[in-house]
Amino acid sequence: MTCLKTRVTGIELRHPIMNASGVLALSEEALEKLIESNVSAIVTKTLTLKPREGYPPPIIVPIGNGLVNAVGLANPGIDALPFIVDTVKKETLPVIASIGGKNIDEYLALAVKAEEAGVDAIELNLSCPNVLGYGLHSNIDTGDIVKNVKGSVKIPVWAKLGFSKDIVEEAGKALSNGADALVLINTLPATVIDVYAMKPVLSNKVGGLSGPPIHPIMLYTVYTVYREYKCEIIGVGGVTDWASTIDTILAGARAVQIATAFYLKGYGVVNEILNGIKKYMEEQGIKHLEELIGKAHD
Amino acid sequence: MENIENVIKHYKTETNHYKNGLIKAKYTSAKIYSIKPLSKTLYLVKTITKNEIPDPKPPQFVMTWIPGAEAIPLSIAWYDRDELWFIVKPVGETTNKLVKMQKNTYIGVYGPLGKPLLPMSRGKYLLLAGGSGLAVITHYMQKICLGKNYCETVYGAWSPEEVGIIPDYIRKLGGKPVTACLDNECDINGLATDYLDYVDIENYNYIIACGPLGMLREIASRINNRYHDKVILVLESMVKCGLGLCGSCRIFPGKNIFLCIDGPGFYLKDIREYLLGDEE
Repeated sequence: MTCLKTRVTGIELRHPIMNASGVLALSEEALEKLIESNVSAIVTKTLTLKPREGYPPPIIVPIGNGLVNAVGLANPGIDALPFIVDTVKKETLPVIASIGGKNIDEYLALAVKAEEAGVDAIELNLSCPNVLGYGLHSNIDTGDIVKNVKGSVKIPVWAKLGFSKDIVEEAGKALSNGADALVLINTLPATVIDVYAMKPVLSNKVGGLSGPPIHPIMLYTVYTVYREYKCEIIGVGGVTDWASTIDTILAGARAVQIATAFYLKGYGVVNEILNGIKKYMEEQGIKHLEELIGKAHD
Repeated sequence: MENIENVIKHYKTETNHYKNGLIKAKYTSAKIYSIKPLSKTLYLVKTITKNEIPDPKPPQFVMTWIPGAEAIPLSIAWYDRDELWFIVKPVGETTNKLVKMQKNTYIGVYGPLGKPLLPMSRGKYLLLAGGSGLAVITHYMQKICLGKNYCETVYGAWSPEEVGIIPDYIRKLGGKPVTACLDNECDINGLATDYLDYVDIENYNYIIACGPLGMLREIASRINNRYHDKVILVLESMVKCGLGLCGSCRIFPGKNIFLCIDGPGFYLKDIREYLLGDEE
């Protein structure tokens, strides 16, 4: 018998595929859609202290096999979290609250509210490339945020980092300040310019690239960070099929998150990937998925 | 150890896009080469795309970006290789800007979005359009009427000025036009849905309608249950991403049906209870 179970920061997942933050996970109807897709945990949209409308369309542009988006952290605010938790917990699925603040105080307030709402873990969005004052555009130190949040909650804290030339160092900073796991990577800063309109297409002018084009960069990041720290990692970036899930796990990830795959293949993609993984594991004589974590480093 | 089959089959969801033959959307620039009024309230906007988008089928739509303004969902009124036409009712800032654009200027579009819902059988079609719902109906006419099937196309508006030259346009697309407005100058002094009182639904192989929600509700309540599998209703809603990721285009409260991935067209049998809601 083949076992797809995996464990991230003590949270047992019945298989390794969650949604990435940003996909649905707002209204009850949207949560149902995600739950029906068979993800093993629900990651919320990044929640801020106050609701945010986000940017007007165009908020996303399809480019080849990828997407360039700048949604602008549209979300109903942290106070919507108890409703999200209640809806997801009816299905006995773990809930991960993605949170984004402008400063340490905001992160702290968000983390405390998230823990009170009953989430299983907190994902610190430290790398949103699209919104002034947040993520890549804030001046706060990754280590400081992680350290302060870790000091004020008991649940696991995941740090979502974007790719940069200093990613290994940045990962080390998050880990040494107490991050229980790293979520690697966010979208890569990008833009799309229409050569006939001669203007950037996104209403925010710039955004982030996701999907298969960033997969090798994510894989590099997971591989090099795992090689350095042997830490718990969730891989995000261009995971769209069983092979891109398996290579991410071989590089060192304990689980993956998907987003663009839902657009490319529809909400049945999770089951399609799981069927592929099962076939691969049977062919390779692997009984437990966890045997594959970091195996590319052997 | 949990059986892997149970893990995978816990929920049965197919890869919808593959199953329904959907392919991913593409972005292209499109040059406007003609904008002409069809009536007092509707404009026919003709563009040529710089790159082909994957062949759209009704009732698919595209997100249309007007440089300097927002992107909005627009139904495709006609598509053939690089010809992409829209029928636009200027109601907001973006649509007003679009119908005032100059010839040889550019817009951006990405699509096709939504699911195709195109009946393949030959026969007799009754098409009902209200307002800018005419765009979807004319795309259906391109695919199923022109030289192929008998089509009656009912266009409903409030006044004769809003009907304009639309009957001629319907004729060009191979349909027999029937107009409805609140005036004796139209074929029917009343609503487009009043035409259902004059005809026997039994005689049509398919009924396809697009228009305001009130019109679609009226159709849902007037047509007998036994015909619900041959009635296609095309809905409209707010769309932000168009790709099924943001969750903005929820159609019916409490139902996880999203216009951009589950619609915009539905068989009446699948949505009647949601459409009529409390009336039932």
